[in-house]
Amino acid sequence: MTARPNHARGAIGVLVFLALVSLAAPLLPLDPTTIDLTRRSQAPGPAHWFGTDDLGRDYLARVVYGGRVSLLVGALAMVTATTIGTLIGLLAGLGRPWVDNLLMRLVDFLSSIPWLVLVIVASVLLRPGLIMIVAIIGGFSWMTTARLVRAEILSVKQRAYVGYAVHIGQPLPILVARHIVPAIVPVVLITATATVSAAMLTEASLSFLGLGVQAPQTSWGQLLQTAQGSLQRQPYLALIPGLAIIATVMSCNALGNSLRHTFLREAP
Amino acid sequence: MKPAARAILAALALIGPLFAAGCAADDTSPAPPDQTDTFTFAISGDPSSLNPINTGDRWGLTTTNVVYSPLARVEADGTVRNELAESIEPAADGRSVTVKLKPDVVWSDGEPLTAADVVFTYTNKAVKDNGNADLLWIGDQPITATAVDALTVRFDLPEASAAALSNIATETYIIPQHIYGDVTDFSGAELEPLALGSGPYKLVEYQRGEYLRFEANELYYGGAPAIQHLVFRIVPNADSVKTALQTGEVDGASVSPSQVADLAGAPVDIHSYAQGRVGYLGVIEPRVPDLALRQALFFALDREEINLAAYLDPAYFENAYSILPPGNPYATTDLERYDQDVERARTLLAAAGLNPTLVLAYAASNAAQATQATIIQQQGAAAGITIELSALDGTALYEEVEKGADAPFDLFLGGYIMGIDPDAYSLLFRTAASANFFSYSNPVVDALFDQGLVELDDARRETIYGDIQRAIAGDAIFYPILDSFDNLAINQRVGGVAQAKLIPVYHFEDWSKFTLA
Amino acid sequence: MLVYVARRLAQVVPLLAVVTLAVFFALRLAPYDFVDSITTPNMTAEHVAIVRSRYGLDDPAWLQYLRWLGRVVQGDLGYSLASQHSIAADLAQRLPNTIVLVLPAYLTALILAIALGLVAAARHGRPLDRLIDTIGAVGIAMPPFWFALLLIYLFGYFLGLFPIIGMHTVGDRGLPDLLRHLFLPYLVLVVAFFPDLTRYVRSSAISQLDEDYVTVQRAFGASDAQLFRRHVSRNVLLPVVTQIGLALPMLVTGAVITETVFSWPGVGTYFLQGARALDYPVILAVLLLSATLVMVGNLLADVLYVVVDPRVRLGKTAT
Repeated sequence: MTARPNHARGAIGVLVFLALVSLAAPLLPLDPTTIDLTRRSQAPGPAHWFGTDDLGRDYLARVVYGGRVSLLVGALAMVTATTIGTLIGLLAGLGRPWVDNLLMRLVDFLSSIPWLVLVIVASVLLRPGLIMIVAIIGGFSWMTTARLVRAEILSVKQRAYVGYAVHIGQPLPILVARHIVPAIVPVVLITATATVSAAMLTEASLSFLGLGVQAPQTSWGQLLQTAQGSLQRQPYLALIPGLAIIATVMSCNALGNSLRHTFLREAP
Repeated sequence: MKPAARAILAALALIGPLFAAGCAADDTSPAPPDQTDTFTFAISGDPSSLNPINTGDRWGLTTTNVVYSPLARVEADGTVRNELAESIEPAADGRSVTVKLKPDVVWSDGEPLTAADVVFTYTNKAVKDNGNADLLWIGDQPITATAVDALTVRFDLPEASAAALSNIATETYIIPQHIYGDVTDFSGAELEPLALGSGPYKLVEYQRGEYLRFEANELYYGGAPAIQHLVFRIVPNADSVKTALQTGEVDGASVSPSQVADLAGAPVDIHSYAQGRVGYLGVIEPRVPDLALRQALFFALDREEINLAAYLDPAYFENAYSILPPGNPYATTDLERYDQDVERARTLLAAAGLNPTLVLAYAASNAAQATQATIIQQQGAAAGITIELSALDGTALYEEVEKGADAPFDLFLGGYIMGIDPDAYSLLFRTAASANFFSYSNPVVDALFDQGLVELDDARRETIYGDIQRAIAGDAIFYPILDSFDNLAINQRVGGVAQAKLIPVYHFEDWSKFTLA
Repeated sequence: MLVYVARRLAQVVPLLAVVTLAVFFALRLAPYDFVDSITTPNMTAEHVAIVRSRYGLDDPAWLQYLRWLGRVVQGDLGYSLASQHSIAADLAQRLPNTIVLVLPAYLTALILAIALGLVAAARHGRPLDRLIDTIGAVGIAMPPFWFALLLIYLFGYFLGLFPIIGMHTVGDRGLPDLLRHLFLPYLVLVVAFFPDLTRYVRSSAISQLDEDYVTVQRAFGASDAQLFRRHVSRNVLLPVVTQIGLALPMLVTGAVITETVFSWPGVGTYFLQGARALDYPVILAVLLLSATLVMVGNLLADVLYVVVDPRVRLGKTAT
């Protein structure tokens, strides 16, 4: 069980498929919002592959459009967190000791509050909505990236060739581009996949608690929350988005693992 | 791999007893022993106040009605049913009401209930700072109570009032002076001791967020309850309530129409009744000062579709068109109903040059409101009105709504049950009244409410309240949606539902009448 | 050793100071006055003024902070806006409920993780390892509330084996009844906790297998079984012990969602109720409590690590 290319390929396949469906959704004959009270709570069939929800909306369309939101939250929160984390990590790793100290205390401080508690408080205080959810999840998920980037820079600094480069007076930008960036890219990529997973699961939890995106938008977490009410009659309404979340998160994690094997040659 | 195997065994050893306990307990007893003498009713949240002087929420009033008794009740058809009162005599000039108490009524601690207790209760309730005094005031003066003798109380009215009798009876539960006489401040949510009354049950334990446990009051003047124990189980999640009804974990609860279908195979009977409730879409007037926009919004909406979406079938609701519920004797149909007219909505918007965006708030935990909001959003969009939704905690919603022009939303979904006498509805629509969530102010309406309160002639009252309904409809701050029926699911092992009598807000009039098979 | 603990404590104290400062000033920024939670509309303006000065609300901020800190240290967390109950008393009632749920679940997950992790490491690369890995991957990717819904559907409704609401049947405080209520949320938490721990144990064990001493032992003809019994498991289990410190905060906030699904009367539901109703004192009290536990837990983890592995001490002093 060294690197498992099949797993990585499968994972990439799943993610590419989801991304394509999400991007192409407006082109597909899917309508997630039109209410039809004459077709409420229908079982899956040729007209509605996943059936309809309690307002007669096509559930396949709702799952696809919910996925758009869930994936978007995951991706945007990842971009936010990775950007902040990398910048803070760079500042801490390259900056003066007091900057490093201050930033690391900030990281310690934010890490010292249980994450879900922090996110719930932020979502209750701020007005919910897609952008706000991305900001909240992304804004509180950058600490690991920052720590790892900083650690990687510190270890690069120790290396002899970097010492030599500094010694011969290479300017900082070139130093960063030649030595630092290649060193931190793998770490950033690997934590990024983990951040997508965490962000999607957090979005699902927030939606389940009623703190997620607002109608008419929906997300997989939101669909799960609604499906709770019809669990007995239509358990598949809960199964489908749940399986979608699991498949996506597993794929992201598998991709992260495979990146780790490729870049770091770390024991699996 | 012996060490690993041992570790697994250790792990199983830890889980094992739990499994065993789970199964064993299930085999021997489906329910603990005293369950056979306990009626468990599910409620959706903690009562917001257990203080009868100021409680006003559904669960607070339901609990109060179990522990305490009122002088009388006004039934759904307007008749007065005496409880602690033996007789109620309004004076010919309409300026006073004399109440004789039933003799030999005692508190659950055995002390006699006297006129002094009644005076004590009404005097404290009429204190405005205690938070629930509105109905005991006429104009700027309170109704006063005086003990004539040990069992007779005279209520003096500052002005003749048609609503006085109903207002005196409504929601006022008599509390014992010998227990609470030393309390100086009745504005809090809990008294010390927590509760002592003359109702069918005594409150013996309250675990916040979990349950309220009651024991039969053997001294109840209506006859000792047949069931020894009553439990109000607090279950906020509606889906858990449904499952608990199916498994028999709770015996009774209020359920939604969609849950009625799910309960088909369960050992419960459904009892539905009109609550005299008005579910509405409210506008915060200072947030949407443009009358044309408000009218356009109302013309954009289709009541019937909103109701069918949220309540499934006309068997579970009746469309409402006025501030008074459809079954109220004073309700008029001669007013602007705002039947859907999308063209007219568009014309109004175009004439005013508007392209509006409004924020609609609703209680996140209320599934029916979530559905109504979704439909309203869609209907608004069809007429060119963008509606953003904002799901809030129920408590938070009412805190925000009080901010009027500073509230973070323009529209909200709500509902009220105010009873038969139309004066009670002044609480919502009179300028600066305690439940005027709309920050609505119309001097004409205020003046009409003043007239209606002191008018003793019923035909003239009907005209006055008809004018009020028309005036408020014309101002388009309030879009009545429906009277939603309450559906109580009660386990078939429980008898006496008809005798306990279904009534709005309190669920049952007399909780002592239930029996267990 | 003592020096090390003292130095770590010296780091925790300022961090706690920052957290409490942040919490305190958040409290002051909140759109209500602390006095609002203890006064009632009936109090006269003079009475309110007396209360204000009694609680020192007219003093400078730093003095108020020190006093507030003094009260918090004594366990007085203030009063809930919604219920006007003492928050410390409410928490004292709910904390044991959460611990009763989380502690057994965590211990079970830990034992399960050690067992599965060692087996996987021993069968490294073989089907059993892959199976365990896949189960773990699914477990990590599964939203806990979704799993809870499945269990409710299966055990609560379909089979009708277990109750799904709360902690006790009212009036029955017996152990069998508690265990019946405990089972489903407990199962959800075990499944939520064990995958991460399993991975930790597995990768520690695998890296141990690459260590020199294992190669040496192998060269001396030790069997895999002997290796695991005598060396690997011991060396893996020591760092696992330190994980317990990191898990400390979970005893308070580890089950927010699970408690909500099962209406479990613990700290999680209390916090969520407070958060939704914008009950600031409650939110801040839970924030403070859990932040403190995180820091104490980290300290505990570090200390345990030093205790089980004295080399760390040398390494740290060198820097």
